Amino acid sequence: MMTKISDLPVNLVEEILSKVHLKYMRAVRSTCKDWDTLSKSGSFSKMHIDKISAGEESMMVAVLMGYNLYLMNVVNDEDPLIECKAMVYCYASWKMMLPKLSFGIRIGVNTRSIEFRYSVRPNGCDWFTYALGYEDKGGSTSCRDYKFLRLIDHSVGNVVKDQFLCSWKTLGVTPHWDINFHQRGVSLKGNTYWPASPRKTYERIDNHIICFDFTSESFGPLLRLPFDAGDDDTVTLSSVREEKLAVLFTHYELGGPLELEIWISTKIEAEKVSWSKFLRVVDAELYPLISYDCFFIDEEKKFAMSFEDDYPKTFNIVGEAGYFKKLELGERLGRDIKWMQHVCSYVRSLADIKQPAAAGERINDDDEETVKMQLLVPSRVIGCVIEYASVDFDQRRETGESSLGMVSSDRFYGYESSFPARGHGLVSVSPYSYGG
Amino acid sequence: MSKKMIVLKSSEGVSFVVEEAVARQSKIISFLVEEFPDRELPLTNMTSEILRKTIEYCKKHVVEDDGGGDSSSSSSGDLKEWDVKFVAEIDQPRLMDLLMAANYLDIPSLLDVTCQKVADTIAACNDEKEIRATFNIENDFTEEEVEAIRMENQYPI
Repeated sequence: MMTKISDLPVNLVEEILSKVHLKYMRAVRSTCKDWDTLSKSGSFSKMHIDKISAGEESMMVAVLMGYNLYLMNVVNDEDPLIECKAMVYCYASWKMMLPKLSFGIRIGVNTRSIEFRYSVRPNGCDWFTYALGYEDKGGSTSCRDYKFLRLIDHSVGNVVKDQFLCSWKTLGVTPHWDINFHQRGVSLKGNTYWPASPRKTYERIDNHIICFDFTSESFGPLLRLPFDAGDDDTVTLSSVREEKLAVLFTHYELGGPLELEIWISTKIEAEKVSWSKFLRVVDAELYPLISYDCFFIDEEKKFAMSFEDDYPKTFNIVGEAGYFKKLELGERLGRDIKWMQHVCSYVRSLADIKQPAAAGERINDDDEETVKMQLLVPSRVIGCVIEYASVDFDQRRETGESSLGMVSSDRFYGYESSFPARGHGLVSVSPYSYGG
Repeated sequence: MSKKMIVLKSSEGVSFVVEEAVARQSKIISFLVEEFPDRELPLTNMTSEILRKTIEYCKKHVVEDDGGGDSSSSSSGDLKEWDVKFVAEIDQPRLMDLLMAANYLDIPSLLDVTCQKVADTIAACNDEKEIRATFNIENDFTEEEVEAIRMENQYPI
């Protein structure tokens, strides 16, 4: 009797397939149903990501395109080249799509689900913005108390907050600021920042940023940005790893060229931010070189990168002295990619999350069990993987307790809804979603 | 002082006398010799051929502990080269058996090279048809399903 690959136990097949480079994954998945299922499984994605991000020193870029999340890194110093290293599949099927989706990565732990209650509905139809942050309780990543913040209807400014895996509570903040609904927060050192404007001004010009402090559970003062934005200008926030804020300012004056400025924070304190200019690009073609939806910068190699505006199948890289490069992302990435795209800095961090004691009936795990959380993308697209710290990897693999995947937040939508279970409890943190 | 030897017995009942240090690269054997010293260890799910191969690998990878601090039997570059040659010479069914043996005996480095070899073989195939033919896997997909995978699995860069 000859031993075939199909005779191997599933964990060995998984081990083998996780060593196959991403670019051959399509052939791998098309080989047979078992391999397809395995390649889409959470533990497999995790293995793949662990293999590529362990010991990875260079800047990693997280790119969301269509239904997949890609992790890439910049491989060439002189001439930036992006190499795709891993991919996380989205579980959502095409049909489940709603016109306007937001994304998160599920935290896959069996039996655990979080309910997103919609108890505060001032207008019956609300805008939501979510942010994930943490309170530092001792300096190490294991002493972080993770929390969600949900902003409901920015024009009204009700704020609801969630203790991680616990029930919601309302903060009842009266805002002195306006956050535009399309602006998504960037998380940095546990807090979240948004471009904002003073309240009750007729033109909402984002000349400021505002920070939500997850420790004091309050908003700080409006912090002035280092430029004056006009009506036709755009302001976009991003981060340099999890250390600095970066802001992209796209400026246009009638008759003039399009100017693009990127500033990096040099110092961030509760009531004060200072900035230094990172890059300035004058663009004679009046067509934004990079999308002002989102962007990624590599501080060392001095370049900024984002999707080509309105054509999300190309990456544009701009740098000093007129450096400009296009990277084609391949055809047929997805029909609705424009809605599903994001690029930001990838930071790998592991932290223990304590299971809350009074967590409600839906959580049937042992109260004392510690779960580990891996923040994949602590930025606008926030990704989380929880893994049990106390259960050994093989055991989890066998029981399928750990999973990682993208999930569309369609179930997030509406009244008193919870996430679809499908054998996985999950938490999704999204840039924004529509209630209705 | 002579080196301590242990006896490993294959499924055919063939005995292999191996230096303990060599065999101890298997975490399972390492555990067993501590629990049951002076016993021969029956490895009933391993043929003589596979056991011989496994021992050959362990012999090459054993770190000599006689005097010099870092005197491993070979430099790491040579060892890598040897590993590549070692797995290249094994045909596929035996490679699977060896991979299973590495898993069973818990020899992480051997498991790694054998898995990598299979992964490289997969990567060397032009498409899924070639993978199926190489590994004798039955196609249980319909055309539409394969097309769906193609759609959702675009490799960007």
